[in-house]
Amino acid sequence: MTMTTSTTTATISNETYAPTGSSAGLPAPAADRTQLISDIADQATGLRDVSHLTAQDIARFTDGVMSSLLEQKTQEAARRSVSSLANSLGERGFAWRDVARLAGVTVPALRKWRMGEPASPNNRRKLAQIVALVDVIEDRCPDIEDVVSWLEVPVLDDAPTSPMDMLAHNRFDLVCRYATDTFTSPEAILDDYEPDWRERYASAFETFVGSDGYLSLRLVDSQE
Amino acid sequence: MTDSSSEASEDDPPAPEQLHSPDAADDLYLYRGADELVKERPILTGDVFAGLQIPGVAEADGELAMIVAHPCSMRRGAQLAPRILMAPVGRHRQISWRGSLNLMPLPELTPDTNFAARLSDLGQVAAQELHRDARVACLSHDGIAILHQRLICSLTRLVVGVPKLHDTAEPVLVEVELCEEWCLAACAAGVALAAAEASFEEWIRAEHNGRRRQDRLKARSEHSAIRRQLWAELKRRGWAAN
Repeated sequence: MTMTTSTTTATISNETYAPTGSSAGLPAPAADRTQLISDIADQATGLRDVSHLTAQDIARFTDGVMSSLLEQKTQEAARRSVSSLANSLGERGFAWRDVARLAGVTVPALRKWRMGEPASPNNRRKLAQIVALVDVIEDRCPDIEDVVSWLEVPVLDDAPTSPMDMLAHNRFDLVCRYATDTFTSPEAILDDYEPDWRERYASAFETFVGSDGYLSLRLVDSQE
Repeated sequence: MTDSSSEASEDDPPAPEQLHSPDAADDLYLYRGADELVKERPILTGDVFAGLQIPGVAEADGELAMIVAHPCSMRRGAQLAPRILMAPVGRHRQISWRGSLNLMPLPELTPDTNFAARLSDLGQVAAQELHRDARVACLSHDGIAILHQRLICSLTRLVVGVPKLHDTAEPVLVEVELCEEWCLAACAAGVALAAAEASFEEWIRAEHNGRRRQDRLKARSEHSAIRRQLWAELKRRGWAAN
């Protein structure tokens, strides 16, 4: 990892422009002031760039650490039986359809695993990776109280995409970043995962609870 | 069974490009065939039944029929509504999601055979005519949303996004999942299916921390907590396998 730091400071002080003698009390020469502001602007831009690069370095470093941690936990979990892994995910609150989706199998196939039928080493590893991810997030992100709920709920109200969807497309890296990197906005996470999400999920409809108590749909501008 | 009764006619309008197309046939189905179907799953939208004639709907070839009613409108708690809206299902030579708007393609409904539900020939079937053992397939959550997207567009030319349709049906779909899980465990422990369903109904309607579990399912953020409670309750009753 490369880390860049800067001790550059930008200040307007009497040392920079100290009127003396006959010039005391007069405004600073326009050219000098323009030059001064320009310098400060350059320094600010430089600081922002340094800050941005440092943030990128930290993100890459954190991604690497989380990836290593996930791999270590996955190897540990993979020692367990397939039925143990599957049932532990159920007990943690996963829906079977999500576990099946993440493992790349059907719900009936997953049910057979739960009943003790063997799975391929690759499929066992997929389940182990999900268990490991939940363990890692629980360990590293105490502010996420219910990891499975966090995985199920869309990242933004404006799009249906959830961290679970990202996992289904093998974006464990993005989910780990979303969990650990509080400086990266949800929009940036979605931009990385699904760049056209704004156009794709633009909708004229919204959900609301109808008078019968059921969720219903209406046009966004029809609310009274 | 003929090969053409569900083919698009020349008068059928084509499906708009905005309608959703699944990536693979597997995405449409939760269960297909006797090996996968479980009788503990409650009857629901997207279930395809064999040996069922829809009154007033001519020549449902092979007598297959699919429930198209919305999950919220076809149930009264654990009980089915008296009459259920259904569409006839017939074989279909070629599946095209850009083909007839009046068809809901059902690719590979049975091994190597494509079918389609004809959404322009709807009719109601008495609930007592629907038998779980007669099911040949159940649609997935995505499949149900895709079905309703096509049905709405077929009837009104209105295109509603699949995610929004999924949102409105989700609480009921999740409740059905929980009921299935509950009944699978209870029946494996020797409880009769009707008794298992009744006990689930009582449990899901019960209050927990001041709110009924059934109402809490309206928020997706609560689903995982309710599932954990279900697992704990199954263990408490001695029904959980592990």
